[in-house]
Amino acid sequence: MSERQLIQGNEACARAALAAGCTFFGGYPISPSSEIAELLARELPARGGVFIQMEDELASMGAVLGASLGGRRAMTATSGPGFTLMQEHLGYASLAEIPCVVVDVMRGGPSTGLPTSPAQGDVMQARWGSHGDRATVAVAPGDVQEVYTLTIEAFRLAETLRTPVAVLYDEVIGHMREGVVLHEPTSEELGRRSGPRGPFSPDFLPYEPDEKGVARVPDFGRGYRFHVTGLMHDERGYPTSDHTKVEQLLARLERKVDAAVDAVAPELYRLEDAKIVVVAYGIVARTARAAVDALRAEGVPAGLLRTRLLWPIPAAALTDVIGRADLVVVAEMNRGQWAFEVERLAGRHVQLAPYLRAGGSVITAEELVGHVLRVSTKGARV
Amino acid sequence: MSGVNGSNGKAPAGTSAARLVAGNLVVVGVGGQGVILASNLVSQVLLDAGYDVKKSEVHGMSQRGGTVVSHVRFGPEVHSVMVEPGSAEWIVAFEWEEGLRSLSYLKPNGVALVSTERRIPPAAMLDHRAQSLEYPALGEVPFGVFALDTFAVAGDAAAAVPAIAQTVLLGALSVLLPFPVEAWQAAIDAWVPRKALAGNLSAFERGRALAPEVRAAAAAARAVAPRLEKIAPSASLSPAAQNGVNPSRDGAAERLLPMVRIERSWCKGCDICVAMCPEKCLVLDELDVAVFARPERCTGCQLCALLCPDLAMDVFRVPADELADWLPAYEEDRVRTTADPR
Amino acid sequence: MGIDVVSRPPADVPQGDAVASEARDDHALAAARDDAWPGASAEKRFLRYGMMPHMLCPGCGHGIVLDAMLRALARRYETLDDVAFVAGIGCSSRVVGYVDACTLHTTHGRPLTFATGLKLARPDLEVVVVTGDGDGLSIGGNHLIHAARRNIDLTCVLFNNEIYGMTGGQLAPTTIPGAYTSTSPKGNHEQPFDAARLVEAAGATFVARAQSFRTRDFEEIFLRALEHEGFSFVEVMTDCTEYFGRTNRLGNGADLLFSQARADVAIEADLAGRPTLQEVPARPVRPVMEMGVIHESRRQTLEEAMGLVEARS
Repeated sequence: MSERQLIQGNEACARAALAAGCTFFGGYPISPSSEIAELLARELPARGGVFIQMEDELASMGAVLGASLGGRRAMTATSGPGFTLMQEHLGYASLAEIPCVVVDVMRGGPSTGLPTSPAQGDVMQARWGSHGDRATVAVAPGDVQEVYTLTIEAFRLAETLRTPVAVLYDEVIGHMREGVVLHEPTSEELGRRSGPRGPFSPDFLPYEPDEKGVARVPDFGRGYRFHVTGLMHDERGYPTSDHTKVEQLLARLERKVDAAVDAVAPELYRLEDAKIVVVAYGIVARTARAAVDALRAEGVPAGLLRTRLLWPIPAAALTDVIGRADLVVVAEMNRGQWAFEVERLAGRHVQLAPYLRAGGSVITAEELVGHVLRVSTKGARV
Repeated sequence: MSGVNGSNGKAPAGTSAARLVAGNLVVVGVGGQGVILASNLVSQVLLDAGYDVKKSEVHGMSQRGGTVVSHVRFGPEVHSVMVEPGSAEWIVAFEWEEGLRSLSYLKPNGVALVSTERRIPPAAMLDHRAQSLEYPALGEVPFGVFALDTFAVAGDAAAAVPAIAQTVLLGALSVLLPFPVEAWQAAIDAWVPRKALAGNLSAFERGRALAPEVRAAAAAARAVAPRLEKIAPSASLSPAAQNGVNPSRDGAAERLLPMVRIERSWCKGCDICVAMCPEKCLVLDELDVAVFARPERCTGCQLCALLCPDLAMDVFRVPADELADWLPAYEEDRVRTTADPR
Repeated sequence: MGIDVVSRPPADVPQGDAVASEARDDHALAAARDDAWPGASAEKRFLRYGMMPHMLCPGCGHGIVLDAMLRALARRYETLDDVAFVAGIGCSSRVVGYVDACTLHTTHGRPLTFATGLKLARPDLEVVVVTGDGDGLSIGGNHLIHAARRNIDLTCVLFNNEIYGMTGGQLAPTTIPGAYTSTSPKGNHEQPFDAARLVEAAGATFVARAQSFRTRDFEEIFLRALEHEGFSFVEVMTDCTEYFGRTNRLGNGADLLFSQARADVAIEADLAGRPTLQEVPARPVRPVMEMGVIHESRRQTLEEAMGLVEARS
């Protein structure tokens, strides 16, 4: 199956899940993500998988984690309000190291907000939505094809790193139709879940990390008897309040997700000699690319860094590009969430002029060009 | 006194605390002993004396018997609520092991007033490994530890409410702090429930009456050794184990006698088995641990094991001529656990 | 059920601490104990010895219920390799940590959601949910009625001690009218849930109520709940000595157990004697409650409907 098919972003996401070996979906209806659940409700049972519509998003996420511990590749899909309800269990999954994929098709917020309009307002929620310091992986596809490939990659990261992985894209990408190649992933692209080294023995340690810092938790019902808890735990999985052990655990959980940075590299567009760097992701990166082309046509040395990974932040690539720039414009459809992160990484010599919009419409290339010309000439005069 | 306070700056206005500028106190114990109440009470005295007082509490998840620690810091202005290790002038410990465990907070010239009451919190036994909670070995117990058999000192004052016994330690502490006895009595009056007021005031007085010893301990902090007296096993609880045969039993049953084995480290002394046993075979010993005291009366009904919330009891039958082998071994175990401080 | 006969002289028996300090972990401890204490009753092989003694208060009824659950499991299973315990947050939920099985200590109120996912992922596993009255009926009440509605083949045991124990004795949705708690200082003025009737109305196909005091009855009921195909719900009345008992001056653990004995009626009895909001008693008394199997029926389970297991007639 290698010819291009005209499909919707949400459908590409569901197709990717099936291709990635997902056999469990637990979800709750919410716009604009519902097409994912609807497609999987048809397709999963036909393939021996399980689809269940739960009573709310807390329950959805709980069911996903239960199924994952039962050995399934499991996922859910939601939008901002549902993502909020899932945060408690996302924190649980991070700490207990239970793999899962959560798709958040972002809509305008806060609260019920703009149910059918696009936004990128859940970026910080994906990072800090749960209480405590939780390590996070979040990918941000920029078109329908990438929804397919990055959803497959999200499953690989979730399984190999034993952590929840969020797929964040906005309503426009979710409902946009594009020609997409639905390739069958290779076994490397699928990845394998980290598991125990040998058979069950008296000194079995389910939370002993492997060489990549990932716990060796087995699936339930495979002859291993062990304890999984949302309390801070030692390598046996039993609760501990030993401060040193807790520090070590949190540090390991944070360290292990750094592997995602190498796996999901940013796209660098016309950056070789760029003095003006536009940073964008998701749908905004598409208009930003058009804006960069338009600026180049005017003789302005602009380039685009399109990140495909929101968390952990690809700090090395960003600082490298920012370090050579005079002006950095982070364009995103919120009140400045990733822009704050970029600001943290930028040195004092760089002029920062984010272009932010949270009203529910997509940032256009024209307004971005106008913004860059405005701030760069102003900057030149200063 | 002066050696304990270690400072002689300006005192807060309107108090008699002429030489006491600031200080750190750590109160420790086990849930149910009144640690929080006691530290509230001390804080009240300090507050009334015009200090800025900060008090923190670390206690378990409301389980009775868990470790409880309260830090009290006071001075003209206090910011951090936590007492740093090695910086407490005073430690008041309502429980012996918790007292030993908290000694790292003590200043070199500080004084620890430690009750000899022993109630090992469940967490200390959680995985049966010594390193799960760190206790200094007895030989390493350093300096300034003033051990007090609070129950003996309190006497009948604590008859109604056992927790009152620990108020003796507050009486002793009051000797080391430059506040008038009326301030302490007022704080006790303000914090203690009415029905326990008289007992507490009385226990406080008895602790305060130890002033000479407490002052001596403070003055020669390093010279005082712990005075833990060995808790001797009581002969009155010895099971009548010599021939352990129930004369009412007949036939086949006579050859197999019921044995109740109690896992001492799991028993929390709730008294259910003692109350439920139809034959009254079980008693609680001086450490509040169930003992199979009258095996000759046991019918093997298993009610004790079925209703033991601690899963600490097993009932089984042993050949009559072997019962005696079980009981002495069991008794030995009891004595060993009782006498050995760990 | 007779009691075990042990004919091994105890001379070479390592005692208590000796076993514990030599053994490296709980599995080895369990093995050592199997050898060391021939008198240990059969269900204790399912305990995680390294975790004992448990963290429950003296006299807490939850330990009695745990032992009874283990006894029932010992009658049904050789090992607990294929038994998963899923629990929420609270004193009741902590007991799963002492069971040597696949144990999952989840978030507050949500154990049924995890269990639903796990059971659908692995229908061959025996999945037991342990929850409390606050966990299962308050924060997790929605999940409880939906699990019952779906008739998923889980066994849910709700430990009802009528109070929030772990957080310090606050009002629960099961606290009886008039009872004092730390958040109802003048006595509870709210009507409690009848958990068993609630779950029955929601569609559970096995509903029972039992007491920690009548521990053998509970053991039998729990065994039947395990065997039942479909959603099984057992509400077990247990005692919080430290908060409910003390705050309401109901005595110690033994007193509370005896009070259970006065508060049960056979299933046939009517419920007219139950206190209602209009007649709040001056001092709380235990309401008379029906005990035993309240409802048992057969209807297609969720797994059967989904085709995950073969439909049984």
